Amino acid sequence: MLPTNFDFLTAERPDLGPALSRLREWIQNHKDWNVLDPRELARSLSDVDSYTLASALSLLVKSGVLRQVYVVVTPSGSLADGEYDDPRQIPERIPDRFNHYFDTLEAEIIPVLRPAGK
Amino acid sequence: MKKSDEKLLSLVDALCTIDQVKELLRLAKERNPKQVRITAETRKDLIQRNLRDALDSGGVGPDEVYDLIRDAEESGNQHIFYFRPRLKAVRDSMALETVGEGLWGKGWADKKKFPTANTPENGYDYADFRSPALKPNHWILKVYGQLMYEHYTGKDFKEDGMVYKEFEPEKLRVVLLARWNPPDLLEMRVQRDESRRRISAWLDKLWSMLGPSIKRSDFDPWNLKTARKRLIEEEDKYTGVYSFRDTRLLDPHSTRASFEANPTSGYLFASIEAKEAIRGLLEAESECTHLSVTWLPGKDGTPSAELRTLLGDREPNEVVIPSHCKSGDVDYVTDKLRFFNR
Repeated sequence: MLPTNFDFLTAERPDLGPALSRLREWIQNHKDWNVLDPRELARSLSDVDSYTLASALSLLVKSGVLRQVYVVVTPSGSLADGEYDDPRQIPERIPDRFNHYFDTLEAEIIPVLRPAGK
Repeated sequence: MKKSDEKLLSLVDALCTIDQVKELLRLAKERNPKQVRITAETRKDLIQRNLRDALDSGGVGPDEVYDLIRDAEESGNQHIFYFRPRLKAVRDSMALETVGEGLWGKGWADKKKFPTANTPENGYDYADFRSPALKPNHWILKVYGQLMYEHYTGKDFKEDGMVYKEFEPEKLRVVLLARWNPPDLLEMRVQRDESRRRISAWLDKLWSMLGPSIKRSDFDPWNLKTARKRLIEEEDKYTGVYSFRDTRLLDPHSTRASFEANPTSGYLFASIEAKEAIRGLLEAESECTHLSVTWLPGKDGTPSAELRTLLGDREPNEVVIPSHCKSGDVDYVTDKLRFFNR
């Protein structure tokens, strides 16, 4: 499960308290998720202002709770296996979920967040 | 450091996981606490500093690194094609001695100096033929090869008003493996590659190198469709054994359905709707052509870590193991497929 122990940040940034609280709730309701896709979060937490949500996520990264990595979206819209610290590390061709290789130069690359240290 | 040791390090970097290298260093450290360091910030430090220093100081011997490479190149990061002998007579002629004699003649064990670490400059050659430890009725035939191909450097240049792409020759090391897994399975293992044409050519090459002893026409592909179906149907009974992520189905009217689990959770049946749809299609006589299965770590240490496999890919007897793993882990998957394919 993704970490939810970020109460200490609410004291540091009370303005982000409600957003962090919604994030914690959301993670607790999605125990089988192992990475956070900010696009999915923005859709699910439509009651949280997108700027505030982005600030809360950024705070979680800066404080070392989460780590940002990059993943490639396959032609069918899933995320390909493999995470990269830097988009420049992404190979020119990688396999999709069914082992069919595709050209990453044409593919969408998105940042996702995973627990720091994993 | 010797040139041969540099080659070893580059093979370790290309083939071995961090855990495999750490395990080697851990065992070496028990013998030589002062000469071996394990902790490293990065993979590069672990291999290029810790393992290099251990090799230089004699804390780790080159033979140990060869063994590590052998384990790594033989298990995982492969396409495995399963075949079964058509006749009992063929099955009975699969003993190591008989196959070796068919390949190299009588007294082959003295003539062939296996294993060899040499990769041919161009083409393919036999690299090893042995029974794996504690499995006297099994055998492994290994082939090394090397291909030269043109690799785009990413640079362009202009000449006479024309733009040209710059290519440079690059060597591709190839490891092919045939494994007799008694009583009735021949595994043809081909390293993973983005080119399907190369994978087919390597499979043909492996058959042709076995040719003097084993005929392709004596074997049938082992279709894993029953296993794929049962793995889906009986998932509830084996929750601690495996889970799956993505699947493709083909209905009786040749309509294809593809299901890919929510990208961030990775468990397909987390969606009740998807579960019902897939089971409904199977009940309506659809065939599961692809199934991405994650085998969960066992209490007895096998598999040693989560092991992702794709059952299906292009051929019904094909399994893709995308990452390197331990040899026992591949055997575990084969045993499970034997169980579920009944």
